[in-house]
Amino acid sequence: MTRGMSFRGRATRVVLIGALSVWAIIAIGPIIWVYYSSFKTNAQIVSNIWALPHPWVLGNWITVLTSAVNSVPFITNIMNTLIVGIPAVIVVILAGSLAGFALARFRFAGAQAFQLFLLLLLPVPQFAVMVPVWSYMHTLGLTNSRLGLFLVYAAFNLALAITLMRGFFSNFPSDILEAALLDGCTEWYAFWRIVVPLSVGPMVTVGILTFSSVWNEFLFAVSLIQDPSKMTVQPALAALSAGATGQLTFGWAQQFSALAITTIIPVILFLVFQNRIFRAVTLQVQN
Amino acid sequence: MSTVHRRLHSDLINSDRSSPGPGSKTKQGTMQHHGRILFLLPSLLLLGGFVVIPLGLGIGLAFFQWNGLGAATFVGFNNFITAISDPEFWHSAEITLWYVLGTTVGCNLLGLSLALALFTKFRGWKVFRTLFYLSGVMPIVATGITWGLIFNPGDGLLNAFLGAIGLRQFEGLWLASPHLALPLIIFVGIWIGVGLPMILFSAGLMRISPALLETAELDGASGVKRIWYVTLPLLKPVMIVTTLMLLISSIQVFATVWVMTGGGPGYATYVLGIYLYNTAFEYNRFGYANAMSVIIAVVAGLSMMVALKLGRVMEPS
Repeated sequence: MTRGMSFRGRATRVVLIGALSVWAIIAIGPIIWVYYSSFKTNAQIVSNIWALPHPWVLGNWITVLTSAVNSVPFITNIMNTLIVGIPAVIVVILAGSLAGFALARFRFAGAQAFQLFLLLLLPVPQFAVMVPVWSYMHTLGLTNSRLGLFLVYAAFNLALAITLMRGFFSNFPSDILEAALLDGCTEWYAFWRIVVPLSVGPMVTVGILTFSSVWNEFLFAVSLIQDPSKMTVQPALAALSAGATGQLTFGWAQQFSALAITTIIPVILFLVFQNRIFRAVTLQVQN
Repeated sequence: MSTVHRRLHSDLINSDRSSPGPGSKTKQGTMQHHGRILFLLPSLLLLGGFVVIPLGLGIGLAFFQWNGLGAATFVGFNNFITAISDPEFWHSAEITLWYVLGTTVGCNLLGLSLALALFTKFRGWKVFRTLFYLSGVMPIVATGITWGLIFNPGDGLLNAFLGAIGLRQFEGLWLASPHLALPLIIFVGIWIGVGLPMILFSAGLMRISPALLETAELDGASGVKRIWYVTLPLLKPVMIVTTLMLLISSIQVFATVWVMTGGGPGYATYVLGIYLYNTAFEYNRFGYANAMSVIIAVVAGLSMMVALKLGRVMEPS
């Protein structure tokens, strides 16, 4: 009886792990395929699209980064994303922490309305704000401008940052704050000298999430910027791809290299910070 | 309860008792008040200047005809009337709805199955969890291009692979087939979205008391029965949350379609995002695009409220 049970247990386990492995192959197979294919020559890819590189060639990444693919080298697009993204991350962390702290700790008129506004913003699809945002930025003369894209990214990533920081600050130990205020600190001073140094962890989480979102962003980038020299990573990648027409504007090897370069940053960020990201995701839901 | 607690705390912190220095009580009060505005000012400026005003302007422009360059002409409710009788609008709404339904159901089912399988805590389950979440952190444009290369009817990976293992008869048109394009894009949507529900279901499973499951086991409930009668009902609140999040994220579909099919073949994958983009930036009908944006935003907002209400009704059971 027990032996039968354990055999059945083992059998279910084998089936289970088999099924999981199938999905694991579907889930990461394509990613691995892209990475090793980026080390093949065009001829190798054309002769066999799924074989491993033989021999491995290392030049494709450099070619994509430095030679003009869509009239500018890919490194320019990466720089554009960084020029837009790094200031956006900093602004989102600072503004999100300040507002999150205020929502968690102060009572003020309109706090409820402000939170309702953040909640209502959530279900509105990004493509439904794309045209209004374009119309507005166009009126301000901020289309085709990295400054304009930075402002849009900072504003549209703020809601999540505020929500996450508010969640964190509402569990912030009160006695530390009270002690500081009793010592005669202003709230402003206490925030910067006492709260911020103790909140580096959540601020880093917000920074990682914001940076990933900016790095991966496509819709605002493709609608607000037409000038190839100001284009960020994702629209440049899309322009370089075969797309619906099936015609590659550049070689296969370069296509795979561009994919590998574009994906490696979010993948590394995730692998390094996965526990932090899992925690943020679960926390966000509980709020 | 906890909010009441929090309020009490903040009252305590903000009360005058906390500000010493008897002479300057009122002055300090006002200073603190000024400080508080500083906390909110950056967010209010950014959200006001680049979210609220553009959205307000968008609502206003919905009543105009505007080609994006010249002057706008007031047309009243014409744009809204046009939208209601526009077959392309309804068609893309229908395609989007299928996509939303397909990915939401698919991600929930697959995410739940993966979470249940991982919950057996076999050796190496954490590695699997990481692998399963990885697809969701990839840039969507890159994901779309990669699957586009796999499902390419010409020299794509899938056809090459089928040919190589002697299954040439199963080679297909994939993304070039009007019947397969949308299901394949839904599949890619599930590939992208499954990580989040998996993590949330995993977290939900961890919170179920092991004693409860043991009792069920002692009562003679088999594995499947235990999952059906004990685990699943307890995961209902989680499923409400994942469903809401999946609805919100899947309606966003744009980049995968853009790079994989461009909305085709024909109009087989012509989702709302693509139609809006084309209306504005290809046909230069910015007023009309704004009107459709308003309709979509309002419908999305209302559906969210209904879903939240439904969720709240279902939760107590």
